Amino acid sequence: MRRHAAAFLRLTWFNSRRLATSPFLLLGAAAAGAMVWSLRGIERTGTAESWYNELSTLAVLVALAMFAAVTPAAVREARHPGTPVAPLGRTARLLALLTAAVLVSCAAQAAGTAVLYHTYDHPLPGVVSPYAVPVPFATAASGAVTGIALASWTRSYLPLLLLALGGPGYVLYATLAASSRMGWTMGRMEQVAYQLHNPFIVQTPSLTGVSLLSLAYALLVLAALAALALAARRRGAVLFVSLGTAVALLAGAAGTALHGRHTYPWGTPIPDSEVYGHSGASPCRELEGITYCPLPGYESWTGLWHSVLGPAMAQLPEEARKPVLWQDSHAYTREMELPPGRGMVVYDHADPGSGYWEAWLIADAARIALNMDFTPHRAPCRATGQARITVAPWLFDLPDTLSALEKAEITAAYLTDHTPAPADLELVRALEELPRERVRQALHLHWDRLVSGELGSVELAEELGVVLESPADTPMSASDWDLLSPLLSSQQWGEGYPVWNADADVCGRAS
Amino acid sequence: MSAPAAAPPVHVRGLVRHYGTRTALKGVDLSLGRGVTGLLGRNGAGKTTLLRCLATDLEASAGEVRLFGLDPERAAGRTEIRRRLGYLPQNPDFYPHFTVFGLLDYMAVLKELGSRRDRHDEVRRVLVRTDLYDRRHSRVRRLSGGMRQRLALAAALLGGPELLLLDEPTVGLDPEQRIRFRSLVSELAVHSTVVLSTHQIEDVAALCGRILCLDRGRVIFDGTPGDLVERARGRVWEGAGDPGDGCTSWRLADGRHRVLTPHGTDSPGGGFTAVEPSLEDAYLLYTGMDRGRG
Ligand SMILES: Nc1ncnc2c1ncn2[C@@H]1O[C@H](COP(=O)(O)OP(=O)(O)OP(=O)(O)O)[C@@H](O)[C@H]1O
Ligand SMILES: [Mg+2]
Repeated sequence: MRRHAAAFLRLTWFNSRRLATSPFLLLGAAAAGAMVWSLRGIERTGTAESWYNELSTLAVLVALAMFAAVTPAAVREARHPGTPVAPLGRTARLLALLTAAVLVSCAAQAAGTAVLYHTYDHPLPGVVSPYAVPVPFATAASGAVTGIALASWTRSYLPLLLLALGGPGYVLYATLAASSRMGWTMGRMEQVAYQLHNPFIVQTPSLTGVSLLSLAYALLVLAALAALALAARRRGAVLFVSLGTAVALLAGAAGTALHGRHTYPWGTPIPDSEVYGHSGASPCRELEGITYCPLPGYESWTGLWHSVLGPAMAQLPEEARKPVLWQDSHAYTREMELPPGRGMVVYDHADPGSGYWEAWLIADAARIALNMDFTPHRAPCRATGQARITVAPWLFDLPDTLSALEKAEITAAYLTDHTPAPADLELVRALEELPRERVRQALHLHWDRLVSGELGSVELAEELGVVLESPADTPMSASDWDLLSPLLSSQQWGEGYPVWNADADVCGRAS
Repeated sequence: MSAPAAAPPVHVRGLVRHYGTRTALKGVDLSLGRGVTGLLGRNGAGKTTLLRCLATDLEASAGEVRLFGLDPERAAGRTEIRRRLGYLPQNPDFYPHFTVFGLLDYMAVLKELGSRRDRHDEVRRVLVRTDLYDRRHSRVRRLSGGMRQRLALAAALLGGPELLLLDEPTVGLDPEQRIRFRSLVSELAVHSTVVLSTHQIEDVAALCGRILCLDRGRVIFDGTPGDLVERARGRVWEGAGDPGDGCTSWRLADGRHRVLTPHGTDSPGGGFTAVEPSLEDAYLLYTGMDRGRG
């Protein structure tokens, strides 16, 4: 028995060495590296989850490369099942090949994991539960195991050929036929493939339950594929046992998927206690009156947010209402306690230094401070002609690295939310030119009337010695934008803009 | 795990093997010890089927097969038997993309040979013995027919098996290689059991201490080459003239005929004299006689 086991290990090692030097794997590794790198592109601040998502992408690429790498060996075993008569028989040889394929896939994935890990600054914010870590490895291995199963059943290179033709065909479709009927069918197939790869609605490595379910699903599918490979072209008891096992494992995988979809449906808030390693302590912390409630693992981002909101809020009077900022996950809905009128939501991506991200953060905080009926995910209110909509753009403090067009876009994006009058944009421009201290004093002086919406843009301008020439009582049309902000030509406005929000309620008058 | 020391390497009782409705072996009994046994018989006689049953490549439909006293139908017995035997199939089917060395190394792994170094030493040994050492880096698909045959022999020799089953091993070998092969097998036979299926009577004459003749799935002769030749004495004739129908004959290079008569007393006629029979004459007569009887 010992001798048999030792020979099995040697055969596994023999197969591993051949697979590891397969040109398919080497080519695949180069392609995978290039692809993951290009997908990262203009990367925002890295997080544990973004790293994990890259690992999942990498796993699919490793799976494809290993599918190709393993096919010659699997076809060889399938076509010459009886050569030679030796103590290590057909089943042992197939098992050794499966083991080697899984080992080499995992080694390739591990190498990629390590390389990607070192391209980030550490520690990475966010949480990846240890149960989620093996999932990309299982995905990576499933390519090779599928390759072996298909080659064993078909005894041919046909599956590899289909993959080789299917890959470029898919790219061609994506560029040419996306809108055609064919494109629709391909889209459905793509969806099915994606769903099979990960059938859960909530997908995040940070939640313990979700990670465990994903791991169970990935391992069950992997084992089922291996059982299918072992069943190929067998008869009698071997066929019966391996097919039966495969069916049972697939049923288990389907059950796991259904259970996961049921337990974690779309939109149901999930408490922090389900995040891996959560201590149960309150996530919130107050800095200069502003409350920050980061997701577990993102505590270090409090400083990031405060470096934007702190200076902005300091421009406003003491009594200005301070925001309570909750961080939500892009992958699931976090259970949050948003106080009415004060709650704002940020996500688990950050893009410091871009101007857009900072402006978006300040805009929400300013809406809260200025009593503009702010509720996350609700349409903003209308404030045509009200001076308070000019405050946020004055606070943006956009970096000089941005072009004039980019600055105009950021301002326009904020203003159009509230259906501005031409006079409002004119005032925004004027505030930029005035000394900051003078504007600050005026805002402090008129704060009460500002937050109640009584103070109009025209009046505030007069206070500051500026005469506005444009009307203050009608929303800006596209042609007004062309006139006042020539950088933003009217082609830039989509249908309905810039007055998409004309039917919204007028922003609250009561404090 | 190990078998009783006294058990003969090959012991078969009433071995039957069916292929669907066709019966290729119809109750074969045999027991083999050390030395070379030649397996003779016409095409389709069942030689390959018998060797495959002995090689644990095929299961018996009925009857008892014991190799080294072990039962090949049980997994443990089968594994142990496979450790101790080398089999050269009639149509060796090798992975074409491997190199000669790589293929033998792979086979050596399958045969449970030890560490990498021991394995490589063993591979080199069989390569030298089959005169393939210089071709060790060639791809299998680039080998000539005779070289492939030698490669198959090399694979069968891996690990120094106690039982060597060779199904038409000399097909395609040039005369020099055939002589090499004979000296190799006779050397091996000192310590192991060799079963050699062949249509080359010279090989049998040169090598085998024992001959088994198979016909339509039955053993019709089991004895020494001498016994077989003895049975042909007085039935082989040479002379001028036409031997007529009803007996096997062929023209010799000098224009005379050699005639085999089924019954000892029948002379093919005047001008023919009885000559010393060769093993080939005996084999032809023996299988022909049986045909006449059936
Ligand atoms: N795989 C098979 N399927 C069906 N019938 C077979 C199979 N292999 C052999 N047979 C039949 O079994 C009988 C014995 O065949 P076998 O190959 O054992 O003969 P042989 O003595 O080795 O012949 P040869 O000298 O031509 O190699 C033949 O009638 C053959 O047709
Ligand atoms: Mg044969």
